[in-house]
Amino acid sequence: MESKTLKEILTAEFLSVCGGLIAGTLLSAAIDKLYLLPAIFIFLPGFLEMRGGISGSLAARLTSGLFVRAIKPEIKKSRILYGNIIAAILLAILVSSCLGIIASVANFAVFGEFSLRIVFVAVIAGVVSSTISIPLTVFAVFYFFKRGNDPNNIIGPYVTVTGDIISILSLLAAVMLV
Amino acid sequence: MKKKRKAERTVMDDILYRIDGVKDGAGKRLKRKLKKVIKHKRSKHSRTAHRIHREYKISHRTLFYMKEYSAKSNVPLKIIKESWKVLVLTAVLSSLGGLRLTYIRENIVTIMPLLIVMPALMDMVGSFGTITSSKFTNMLFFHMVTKRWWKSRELQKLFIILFVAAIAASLFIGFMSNILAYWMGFPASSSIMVKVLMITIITAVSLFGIIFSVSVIVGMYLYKKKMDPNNFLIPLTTAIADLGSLLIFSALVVLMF
Repeated sequence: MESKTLKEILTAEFLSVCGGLIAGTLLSAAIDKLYLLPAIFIFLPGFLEMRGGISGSLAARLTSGLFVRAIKPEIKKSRILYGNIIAAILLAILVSSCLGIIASVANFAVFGEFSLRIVFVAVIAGVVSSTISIPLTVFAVFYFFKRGNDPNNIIGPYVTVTGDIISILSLLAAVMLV
Repeated sequence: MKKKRKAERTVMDDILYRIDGVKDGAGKRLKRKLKKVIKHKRSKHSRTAHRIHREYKISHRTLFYMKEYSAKSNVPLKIIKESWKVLVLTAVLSSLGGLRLTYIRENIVTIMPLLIVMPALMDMVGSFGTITSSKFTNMLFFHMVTKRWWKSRELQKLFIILFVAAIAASLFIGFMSNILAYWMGFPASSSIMVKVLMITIITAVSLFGIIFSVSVIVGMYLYKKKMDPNNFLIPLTTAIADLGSLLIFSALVVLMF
């Protein structure tokens, strides 16, 4: 019993840290570009956490909807499904804007450097990452449900792994654009 | 307008379809009750909902979903209204951790394993918060933990399992970050490797201790007050993990490098 629990916990942990390690490697490969951006280190932890918070709860809501049969596991015009997707995208934009503003203000208050560039980077990165990760989360939830798995048990590590990688890549894309 | 009516029927009709009584006219009565439940304020205890659950064997989760996403509700607005506060609070806490990180940015940028290990360490500690809280809450509900929680065999076993998992996972990310940094062209050094390993192990173990203590103390208190610890413990432990991991990590980097 104990070894089974330990095995389950270690598997979940292993999956989630693998995403973190890949994200860290991507980060170190592109640090010369990111380092030039003021307040990037204030912004980065919140941005990495944000994806899990938004996509994780989106997946949980969709799973509940699937189990109570309010949502069908197919991409079809449905008020609840569309409502969830729109809410997740708007939340991602709202939270990333907040993170950008907090980073900019904190950087000015503590280090005396003021730049609005991080706010634009935050908004663009938020839009790019949600455009990729939200449809991916919806497809993954439907796929696991159709296969007969309980998405609640699988989607946590999935969101952590994909979320970290997508966040870093979209942040890089945003830095290149701005 | 039409679309809204159709969406309401999907959830409610599904409930009515599943109930045999719908054939002999009892369906109309149930439909009236369901509409009443939709109108009820969430903050108040709904007797009708409880009665429907008992009489028709419809789960509370189904009733809750039908109520929350009925035709009259604006789905995106409802989700945003309920989620934005906790998400912004998490953003503020993470930014505080990030601010601390800014002081050691030179170290993080020049010592590549530190940069590689940082996101993985945050993920690991965060998921420990979720696992500890949900497992302890389950134990409370199954009466595996009593008032004298320190004597509970199950809790002692959980502590050992999570402790072993914390050590194993931190060793894994410590080694992997060094290997990945070497692969990326960072010169191999045994002293840096040992220091990175020590940082990951100390951060993971100390935060595991804090999270476990908070889960037990706050969980017992909430359970005593007849509240569901699930609703409070997971956001609390995740917030502690987010902020704590960055603060302890930064302090250790300053101490060791």
